[in-house]
Order: sequence, then C-alpha cells, then structure tokens
Amino acid sequence: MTPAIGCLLLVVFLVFAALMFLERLSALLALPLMAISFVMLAVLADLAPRNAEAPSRFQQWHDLRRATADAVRERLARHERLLNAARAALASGDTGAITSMIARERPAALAELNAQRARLLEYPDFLSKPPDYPGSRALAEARLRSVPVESLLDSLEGALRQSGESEDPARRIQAILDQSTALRAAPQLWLDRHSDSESWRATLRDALRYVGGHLALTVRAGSLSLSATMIATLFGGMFAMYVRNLKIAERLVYWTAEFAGERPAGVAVAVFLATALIFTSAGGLGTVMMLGTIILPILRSVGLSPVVGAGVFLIGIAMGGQLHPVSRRLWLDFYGVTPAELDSILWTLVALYFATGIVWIAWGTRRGLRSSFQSREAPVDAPALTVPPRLMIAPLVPVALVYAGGIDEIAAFTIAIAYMYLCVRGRDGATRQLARSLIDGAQAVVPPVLLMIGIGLLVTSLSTAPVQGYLRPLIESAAPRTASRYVAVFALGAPLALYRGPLNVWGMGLAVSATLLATAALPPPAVLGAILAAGMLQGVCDPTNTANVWIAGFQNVGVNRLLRYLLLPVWAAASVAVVIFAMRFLG
Amino acid sequence: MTCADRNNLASATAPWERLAVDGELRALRAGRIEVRVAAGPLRLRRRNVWGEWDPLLRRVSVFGVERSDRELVHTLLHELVHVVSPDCLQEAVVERIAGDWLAMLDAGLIGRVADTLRRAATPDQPLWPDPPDDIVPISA
Repeated sequence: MTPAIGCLLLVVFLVFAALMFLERLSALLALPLMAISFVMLAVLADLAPRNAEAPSRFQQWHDLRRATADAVRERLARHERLLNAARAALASGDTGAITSMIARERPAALAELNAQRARLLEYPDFLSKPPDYPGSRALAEARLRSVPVESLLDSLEGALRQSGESEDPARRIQAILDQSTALRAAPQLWLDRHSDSESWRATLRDALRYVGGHLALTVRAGSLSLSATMIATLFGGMFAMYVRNLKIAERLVYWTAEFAGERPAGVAVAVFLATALIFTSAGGLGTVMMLGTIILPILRSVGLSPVVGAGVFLIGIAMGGQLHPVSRRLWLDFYGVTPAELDSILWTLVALYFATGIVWIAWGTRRGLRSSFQSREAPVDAPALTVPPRLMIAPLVPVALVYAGGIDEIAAFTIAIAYMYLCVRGRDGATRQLARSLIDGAQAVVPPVLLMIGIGLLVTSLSTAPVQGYLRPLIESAAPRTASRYVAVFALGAPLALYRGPLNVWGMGLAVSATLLATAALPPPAVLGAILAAGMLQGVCDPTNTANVWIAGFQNVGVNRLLRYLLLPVWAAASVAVVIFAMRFLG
Repeated sequence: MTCADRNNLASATAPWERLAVDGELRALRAGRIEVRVAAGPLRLRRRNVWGEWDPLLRRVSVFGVERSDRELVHTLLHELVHVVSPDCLQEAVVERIAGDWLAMLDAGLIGRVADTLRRAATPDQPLWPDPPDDIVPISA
C-alpha cells in the first residue's frame, strides 16, 4: 500500500505542477492547496485498516491516547485517595496524619509520574512542531499535570508549615481540599470523554481528531514556520520603497552612466554593476520599471541591441538579487544550512553571474552586433545638486551589514532606513516621506508574504509523519546520491525551472527541495545549490517573470526571443555551478 | 558592398525596387529583415534617433513618421545601406550614399513608400526619461 499512496502523492504533485506550469493556478493558491491535499491523502490512507505486523501510525496514535487516558485515570485515583485521606485526618483533627501522608505519597506520586512518562515515550511524538505546535507528548504531559496531585501535596505542606501562624489551620486545609477538588473537574471531564476508547465511536472520534490534528498542524505551524522571513520581507519592502521614493537608484544609474563615458563595453559593465548593486537590497517590478526606463535607453544609446541590453539588465538584476538579505533569511530558515555554507553557495553564484554578464557584454558589444543610428544630438541639461552623495551608498548598506558585519537582516534594514533618514532629515517633509515609505513598502510585499505562508504550509505538510512515510521510499530510490548523477540530473534539468516548472525556486522547486530534505537523500547545501543553480535560468530567462515581460515589451522584442538568446550562456553557468556544488558537497 | 564601392549601388537598389513594386515591405521581410515603424522619434541619451539598424535582430526601425516624405524615406535608405553593406561603419559615408540613392528616386515613388511607412507605424516607443531635478552631476 505504501508505494501506491506514494505514487498517488506524486500524481498530486504533478497535477499541481502542471496547473502552475500552464498558469491555470497561481503558486499563491497552488502551494497551500497542495499542502492540504498531501496531508489529507496521507492521513486518510493511514486510517485504512491493514494487515501488517507493526501497528499503523493511526493505531499507534489511538493507543497513545488510550495510554494517556489510563495514566490520567491513575493520577485521578491517586488524587482522590489523597483528598479522602486528608479529609479523614481533618475530621479527626489529626494533622500529623496529613504530614505523614505527604511524606509517604510524594515519592510514590513522583515515581508513578515518571513511569507514566516512560510509557508514553514509547510512542512517536505525533503532530509535534515546536515552538509553533505542541506535539502529542507535550499534550500528554499537560494532561497528566492537569491532575493536581503535586500541587495538592505542596499546598498541604505549606499550610501545615504555617499552622502556628494561622488562626484557623483546619479551615485553611479545608479550603485547599475544596480548591483541589474543583481543579480535578477538567481532567475528569476529559477522561469521561475518552473512557470508551475501544468502542467504534471512540475510534471514529480519534480518526476525526487524527485528521483534524494534522490539518491544524499544517495550517497553524505552516503559517508560522517562515515568520522570521516574513518579518524580514516587510522590513526589506519598507527599505526598498524608501530607496525608491528618495530616487536613490535612479541617481545612481545616471551617475554611473555619466562616469562610464561613451564606450559601449565600459557603459555596459558600469550599468551592469550598478544594477546588481541596487538589486542587492531593492526588488520588485516597480523598481525594475523605474530603473529599466533609464538603463535600457542608456545601453541602447551606445549601440547595444535591445536583446543585449535586456540581457545585461536581467543578469545584473539576478546577480544582485542573489545576495538579497530577505532571500538569504529564507534559505537559512527553509534549508537549515549554516550561514557559512549558504554564503559559499551565494558567492559562487554571484561570481558565475558576473562571469556570465562580462561574457555577454563582450559578445554583445562586438562591432558587428552593435546597432547603427541615423540620429541627431540632443542637448543635455546640467542637473542641480541637492542630494548628498553619501546617500548613494544606501543600497549597499544592508548587504554590507549582513555579509560583512554579520548583522541580522531586520536590524540591517532598520539601520539602513535610519541612515537614509539621517541623510535627508533636513528636507521639508522628510519624516512624512519616511512614514509613507514604511506603509507603502509593507503593503507592497504582501503578495510574497502570502506566498511564504503557502511555502510554510507545504513544507510543514511534507514533514508530517504520514506524508513522509509514503513519500520517503519513492524519493529515496529516485534521488541522485552520487556526484555524477547529481550533476546529470540538476545540470541537464536546470531548464525545468523555466515556465514555473518543477525546479522553480519560488514555486515547485521549494516543494521538490522540501521532499528531498525530508527524505535526507541529499545534504541540504547540495539541494539548495542545485535549486539556486536552476534558479539562474529562472531569474534571467524565464518568460513568465514579470520583469522579463516588461523588459521585453519595453525593448520591443518577444519575451521568448530573450529566452532564446540568454538560455545557452545562463544554462552553461548554471551547469558550472552544479558541478562546483557536486564537488563541494558530494565529492 | 563597401562604402567606397559606389559602382555597386545598383545592386543595393535591388531590394528597394522590389519594395517599390510591391508597395509594401514584404520584400524586406522575405529577406528576413524585420522592419518596424514608430510614430514618434526614439529619444535616447543625448540623441534623437530617426533610424536604427540592429544586426543582431536583423531589424530596421524607422522613427518619426510626422517628418516629410523625403526625410522619412532617406532614413529608410540610410538603414538599408547598413543592411546591404554591414562593413560600412562610418555614419557620414552611409548618410551620403543614402542621399545619392534618394536622389535617384522619383517623387511619386518616395510618396508611396512614405505612405506605406506611415501606415505601418505603431505609437509605442520607449523614451529617454527626463532626469530627476536634483540629480547629482558627475562633478559632485
């Protein structure tokens, strides 16, 4: 049955992949729906009766609840004995009997509690995803502790110790007993509901709880699992909007173009590097459009073909975006790699992007490929200086703080925002502009934050025991384990990142990664490296990127024409990256 | 054809004659040369562009159809010289060849070609945006 359910899960995966690929369903909806479908399918399969030697997961879950009920029953019985003994001693006025009872019962209660804990530890920790969702062990412990045995003993001991000072110790002890009696109502009620654990109704109830528990775990823990990344995204959005509203990026590009002169290769390299610098901390289609309207005509004016100019801009965007602190936080949280491992991957990719960009510029600025113009010179107005040049380094501040200063992303964005504000604080309306940027920036990143919730749901669903149980054997048998197979699969398969394909960094690629990580088929850095290498194609060439669509339209070339020209050089760079990661992490 | 090879001008006019006969730009397209016409001028950094030859895309672009028939056709001829003579990189020489070529054509043909270009014009063209008012100059 396990292989059949595993294949069914893969079919679900492929159906959603196809829907995303064909753009019938956005990743925003597809990822959560896929997560819920995975969990429902696997959990319902768990409920099916089977003739196996080992108990099924649901049977173990059912047994765990019964064991918990037994333990609670034992605790309640002990608690009742304590109450009765204390009441009897109180009625006879023999407080010494209570003292001896406490001395006798305290070690016995502790031994019983430890024995019960040991019994419960024999079962798996179902539905556990700390700190976002307490598992079955934590819940069982809470049920046991809800029977107030220890608190009763402690309270009685305290009351007896203070009996000399108290005016009426008997009344005080009676109050403690009444209070403890009231406290046992909640665990007693829970036990009453779970006392008929062998009946079909109890089994049905447990089945519903089993399904509901997994769904609740997926939704709650999944939504919270990337919370740190979401907050970093909010800060990143606020920072990017402030950079945009202060027009820092535009000035930087104008400035760079002025410095670079008229040599096509020089201008292209300068603009390429300026683009990469800006996109290390900025992002989004708005920024692409804002800069594209400046950069693309600059490149065209020195004779670069629209295709070459678009390539320079796209490679620059992808190169800078590779170092974006928000993405870095996501990779750290999602893949569980160390910062050192992640940085080695990211800088390798940046170096490859740089090499690709330089080769692309060298090819595209050859005289035979440059455009010729029939044109007339236009006058250039000398702009006025009202902005301090120190503001120009603002786009670099978060990246420098994160990578060189070792500061976390949220603090780095906050410092960068404060730095920019200090640079312009003397302007009229500077505070209002800052406030406006913070609000607009937070609103602008809502779609990626929602996508991150979907990613979290998917990752959580894939890490649940039922889904893992069915999927792991299949993935383990198919996953590349040797360096040569790793290179063959991920270098040749890199174009599968295009058109929202299965290696798409922000869509199905995360699901593939989560599956590979969950099965431990490959070390996490190798999985991340492969996905990011494929992401090079997606970042630069993918016709479904809104940036590519806008740039192609602006340059008056087809978006697939951009893909045709850029595919080979970027694919070659991605393949080199895969080879490097294979040697580094699997060699 | 090289820039100095004025004797071969007749061969360069061959596609142009076909163009005139067809009354459309089909001949160029048959030669895998894409022709685009935009209503306004292409404003790039420090220059207003009337014509562009992109050898990578093999695309001729003509901008600014509001100009006179002769100016419009002159631009097209300028870019066609680039097409048939890719080694000719001096714009001044290309401009002179195009001027000579234009002088060989009768006014009726020039008018028909200009009308064809205007009919093919699309309004959308990227424009070089005005710089921000407070941009930092390079002397800063």
